[in-house]
Amino acid sequence: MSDYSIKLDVFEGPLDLLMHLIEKNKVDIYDIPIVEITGQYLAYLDRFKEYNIEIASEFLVMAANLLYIKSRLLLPLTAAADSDESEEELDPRQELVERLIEYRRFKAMSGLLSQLGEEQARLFYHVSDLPTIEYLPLAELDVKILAQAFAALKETAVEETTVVVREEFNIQDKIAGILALLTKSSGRIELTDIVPTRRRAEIVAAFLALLELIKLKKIIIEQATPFAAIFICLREEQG
Amino acid sequence: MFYDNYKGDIEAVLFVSNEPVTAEHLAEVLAIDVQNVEELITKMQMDMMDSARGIMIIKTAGGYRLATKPEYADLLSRIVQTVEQKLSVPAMETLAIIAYKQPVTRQEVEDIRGVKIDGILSKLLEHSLVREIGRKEVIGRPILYGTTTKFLQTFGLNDLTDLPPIALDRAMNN
Repeated sequence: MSDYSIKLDVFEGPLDLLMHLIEKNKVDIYDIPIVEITGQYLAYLDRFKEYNIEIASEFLVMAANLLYIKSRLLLPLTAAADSDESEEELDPRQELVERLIEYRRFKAMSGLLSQLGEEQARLFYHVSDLPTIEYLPLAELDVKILAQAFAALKETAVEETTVVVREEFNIQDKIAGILALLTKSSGRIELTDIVPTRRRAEIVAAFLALLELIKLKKIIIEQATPFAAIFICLREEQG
Repeated sequence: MFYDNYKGDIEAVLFVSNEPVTAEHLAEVLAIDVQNVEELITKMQMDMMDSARGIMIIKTAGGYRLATKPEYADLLSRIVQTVEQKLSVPAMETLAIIAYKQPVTRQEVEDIRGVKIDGILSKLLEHSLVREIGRKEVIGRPILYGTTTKFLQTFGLNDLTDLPPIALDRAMNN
């Protein structure tokens, strides 16, 4: 049992098994006796089964292919001859032979490559630990510098109290301001009028104030066309 | 010859380099012509053939590198712990197909070998012998594979034209 598993392992795939059979039978790869080779191939698959080895689907595809070629060779050539003559002249083994030759070719090349690799493995290299960027040791250091650095650190230590800056603009004031401005200017002002300082804090406060006023239905916003000036209008009291 | 003074420079640069150094790079560092570098290295290689020397300069993966001579392999394996990392036969076959057929898709390799190669391919990628080099512009845009610089170094090739020529059929019958 054990020596069988080794033997069967050798076949990497259906082409490998076929090559083995061709070499074992010492037949010409260009003139494969399909009947014999197919028989032996199927016998191998049977042996796989005997030892409960799962047969990879590729082996079965090849078995079907072999049987098809065999049937083509056995049948008289008359049937489909008229449909396409040039195709009919082709040996049904042709495609298989080409695949086998291609396979054998790369098997040979892989052998050559292996040899090159083995020759190369006999060379040893010097491994340098020279880094591409060489960091020189830090220069001119003294424990006094450390002490000085520490002293300087103490002097500049952060004070523990923090001054909280008072908010310059608040929304309530801004709302009152906008309403006052509107009444003064007969109920219609331009958007830019409400941010005289143009400071970020003011812009934020003014924007939030506007949203609040819109929500309270105190004002409406007008813009004639896109990118035109935006106006804020006092909304007439309803009812 | 004046340039002979640079032999030491070249040897020093190659000594500290862990990767092959191109002739162009050497020329730039030494501020001499590429042609001079190549001539000098040829001379150095001849000097080093002397049996009194244990090292040589090899041309690999497009550059030059210092290496021990192969005849010292057995000696060195006595002092250096070497771990043999051999590729399996199927892996070598797959690698050979990719090397000669690149750029090539997985399916194309599988067609030649007649078996699936997923496992082998990921192993070759892991070893950095093979890399993705693009996508084939057909339905599904499958990944195209090719070999790496490490592949060239591993097999002592200067570039892909250094691959042994593919043997043709009838001549190599069995």
